[in-house]
Amino acid sequence: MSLLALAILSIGNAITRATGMFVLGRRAGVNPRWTKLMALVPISVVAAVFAVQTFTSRDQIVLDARIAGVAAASVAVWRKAPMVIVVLIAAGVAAGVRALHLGG
Amino acid sequence: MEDTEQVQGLGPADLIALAAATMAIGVAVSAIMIDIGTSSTVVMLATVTAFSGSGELAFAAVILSGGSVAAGLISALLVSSRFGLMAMSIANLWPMPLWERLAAMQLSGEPAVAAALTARNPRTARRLYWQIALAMGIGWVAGSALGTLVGNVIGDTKAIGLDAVFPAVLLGTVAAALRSRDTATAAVSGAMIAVALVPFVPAGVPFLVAALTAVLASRVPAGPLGWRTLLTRGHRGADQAHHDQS
Repeated sequence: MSLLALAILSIGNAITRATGMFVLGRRAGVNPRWTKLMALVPISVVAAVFAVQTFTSRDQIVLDARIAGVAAASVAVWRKAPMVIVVLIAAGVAAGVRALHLGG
Repeated sequence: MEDTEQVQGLGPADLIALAAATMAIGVAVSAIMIDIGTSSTVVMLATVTAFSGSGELAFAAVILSGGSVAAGLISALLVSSRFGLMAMSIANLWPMPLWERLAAMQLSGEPAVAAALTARNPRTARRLYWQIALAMGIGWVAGSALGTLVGNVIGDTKAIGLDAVFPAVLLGTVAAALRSRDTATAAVSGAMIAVALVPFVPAGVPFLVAALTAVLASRVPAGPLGWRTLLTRGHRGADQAHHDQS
């Protein structure tokens, strides 16, 4: 990434954030349906980012060691383990599966 | 109900854990950025000014697959578009002066926004938001600094499982959404449609389409979900209280 690309990315992100904070957010007001929608949008998008980061690589659906790492981490999440444990399990299991050549 | 005015917050152990987890993400992202030939200076600047690990990852993914810088930037900006949605969703949660709005929109992240949205009152929302955002911000910058070093030492970040860390953290963020019918609909439909679209549309677009599934989910009434609810209907109150505390 060059300095120019960095500047474009940073300014673009700032515009996106400001639009949300100062334009869309202000307009939302107190309409309960808007409030509910605003709470749901990030959930949809975060779940999408999660799924894309787990099940795809570039423009393909790819099933590899990440799934083992995430599956193991999901047990830790379910058992309400601290985040740092979740992270260590995810990385450790994915790395272990790769080291044993069980999956890419 | 009785604790409407009580301000709740996280303890030091939780905040250190969050910072440590974000630090791991920072290491992973910066190591990958160094991998595609970015200078350490630009990586550290991007950490603070772009403040979007997923955006940097999206950029790196396009470059690694042989795409142009322009395509990488479009992809990164699309992935980061959800920060606009996050800024929107916190805009009215508590009264904010201008400086706080600017700082809150720059430092936003899913865990902080999710905690603020589920807070019982505005003061708790504000406290939780800043506790989490600052803990993660510190971890993120520290991790990135470490990542610029690691990136030059470890060639293959996949070998130590760093690519599983980011989704695992996101899972921890959305797991609570699976308890209610409307939020579960939003999460599951968003996840499924995004993965299904990945082979067919440019990088980043799946996240925008996923955002639209929230419109459908907003028609679903809130309410508990799952077999456990069916089996323990009578004890739901106690069960819910237990979950809310942890």
